Amino acid sequence: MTFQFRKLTLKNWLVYGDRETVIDFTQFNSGRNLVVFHGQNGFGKTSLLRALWFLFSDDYKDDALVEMWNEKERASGEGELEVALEFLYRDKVWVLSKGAYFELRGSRIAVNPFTKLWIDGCEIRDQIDDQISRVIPKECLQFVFFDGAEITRYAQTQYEDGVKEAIELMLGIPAVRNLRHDLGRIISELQEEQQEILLAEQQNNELAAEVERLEEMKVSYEERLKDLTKKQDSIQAAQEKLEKEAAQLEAIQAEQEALREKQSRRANLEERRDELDAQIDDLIQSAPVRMLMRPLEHVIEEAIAQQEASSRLEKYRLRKKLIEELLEEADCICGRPIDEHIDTHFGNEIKRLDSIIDSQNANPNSINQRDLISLQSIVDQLANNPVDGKELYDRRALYIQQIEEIDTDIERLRDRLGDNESIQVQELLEQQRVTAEQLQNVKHEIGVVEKNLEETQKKLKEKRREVDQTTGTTDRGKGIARTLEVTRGLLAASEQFVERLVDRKRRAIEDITSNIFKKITNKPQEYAGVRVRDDYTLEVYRHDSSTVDNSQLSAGEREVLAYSFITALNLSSPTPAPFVMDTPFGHLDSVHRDRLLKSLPMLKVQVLLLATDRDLPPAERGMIIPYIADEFEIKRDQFNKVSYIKEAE
Amino acid sequence: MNNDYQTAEEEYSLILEEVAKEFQVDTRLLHSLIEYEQSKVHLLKRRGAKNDLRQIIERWIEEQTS
Repeated sequence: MTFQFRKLTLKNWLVYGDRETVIDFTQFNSGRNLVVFHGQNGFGKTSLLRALWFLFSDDYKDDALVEMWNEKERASGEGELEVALEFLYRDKVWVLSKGAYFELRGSRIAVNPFTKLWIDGCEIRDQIDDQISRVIPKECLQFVFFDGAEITRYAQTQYEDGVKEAIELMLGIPAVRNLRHDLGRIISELQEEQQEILLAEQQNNELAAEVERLEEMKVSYEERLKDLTKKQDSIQAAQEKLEKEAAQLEAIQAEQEALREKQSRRANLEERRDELDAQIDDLIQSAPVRMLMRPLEHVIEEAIAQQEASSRLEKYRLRKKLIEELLEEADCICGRPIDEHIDTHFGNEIKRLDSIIDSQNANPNSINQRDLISLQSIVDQLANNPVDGKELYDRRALYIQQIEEIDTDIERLRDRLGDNESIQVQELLEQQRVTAEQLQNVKHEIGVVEKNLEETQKKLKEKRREVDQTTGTTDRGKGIARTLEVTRGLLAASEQFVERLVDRKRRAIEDITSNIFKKITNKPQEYAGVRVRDDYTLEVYRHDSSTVDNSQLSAGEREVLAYSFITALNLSSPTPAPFVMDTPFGHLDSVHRDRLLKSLPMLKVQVLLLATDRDLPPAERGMIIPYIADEFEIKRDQFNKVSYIKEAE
Repeated sequence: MNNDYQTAEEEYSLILEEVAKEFQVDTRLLHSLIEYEQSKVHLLKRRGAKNDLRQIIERWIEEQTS
């Protein structure tokens, strides 16, 4: 192993007080690579993690150092803090000590920071920060010293700025890229020197000019090719997007159809509800009449009876009038003279008729014929159209409920459709046709430029050979030609090296990430592995090749995915560093936690676990005992408000 | 638990040897140039990198010819 911790010393660092805390690590052997620190919340696990960050980063300014200084010591205003690590790196013993001296000057604390480094016993005095960065670049610390709860950010579909660069740094890619760039610059410089030699001799002006012309053409073709490739990439990205949209279109269309059907059904229900509303309005308006149906029928019956009585009254009046007219005559209509007897009889008859007429006239509630007909018509109509009000209200409530349910469905469908609600098949097909045409044109153009570039390079190579021969007659020219030859070979090799390195590293990370993920996940029947995209973002895929949207993964699954990835990343680094995991099992259930624990001994690096009793209950601890090299307890002296570390009993 | 993961050091060397052989360049020379770049990779400005590399190459040529 190229990198392992041997001894860590803390003095007045955060919760650790002036009593020096020294952690001696057992010599690493591949059978036992786990170092466990047990500690309750607030006792100093994160302080330990931060101590390692402090050692390998240069971000701590004076104010930050004062913050890191143990609170109790700080109160005294003077003193020092120190974090020191002895470690083995590439077969050499490194001792790195960082800290600060503090002195009270008036009301402020003066900070005098220090960094000391010894390699194999020799103190390094120059470029110490550069040396430290070579061990673990500060950008890569996030992948080796981490808090279990925070690593889920590596399971996102898009990284924050700088993460991709840090990943490539971890894999050793930028150094080879830089080499490629620098070799290119050396070649340009050497070629310029050759041009100078050529131009110094008049007869070679034509050759120099030709080389220069070809060089310019080459640069121009290269730039054009770069632009076209960029254009091609963007068209291909658009095409991929359209293909995805097309694949989704079927589902979208089905949902659009469902949406239309729901909207139509809603309109229909609304219409029926409106009809019911009208019927209910009618019912409400006719309600008083309906409620009075019985009395009204009675009134009508009485009115009819009254009308019959009125007709009889008329008869009585006519009879009375006839008798009165007879009384005025001398003889009766039968020819007999009207005597006293008849007169009395007629008089009595008139009185009787008067009495009847008076009694009939006395009824003030008589109803006129027209009102009677109207009332009878209303009553008849209502009697012929009986309405069940309760049933109307029940039906309306049912429609309202159905409309509400449909509204929920419509809303859900609209949410799912999002901006796609208005996507038209024809439009999409047209877009696909246009991009395919554009892509074809760009590819054709690229082909032409590539051919031109190839021809130009070929001509240039011939001319360069001519230049090498022409300038090679002098010692200087010969030297330049030889250096050029070697550098060109190195450039070609480094170009290929970058390509293969990027490709193989990505594949290696993909394999290791998948391997670890499959071992830890509690859905091995569902998840088949993890894809690492070109930008190093991750994608879990199922056995049927479909991908799982990262947002659909649970917090625990994202943690497992991120852990698998950063483990793979560390193992793919040319110099894997010890892993330090603070409260590593934050969101994990017991199955995930046990599997993750079981995966740790497989790593060929030291693994420092900063665990609470919840992270590592006795049963789980028992499971990894054979792989534990060291076990420590973080203790807290609550009276003196300081923490310290001792070997676990 | 026997399925140990391999570190990437060997793979890195393997690719290096592979391309060196393919492009007929010296593996050690290519390695030393990468090592040099590795030591400068964390710096914002790699002043003098081009000259240093050229010197490494020229020194190697000298060694080969002498």
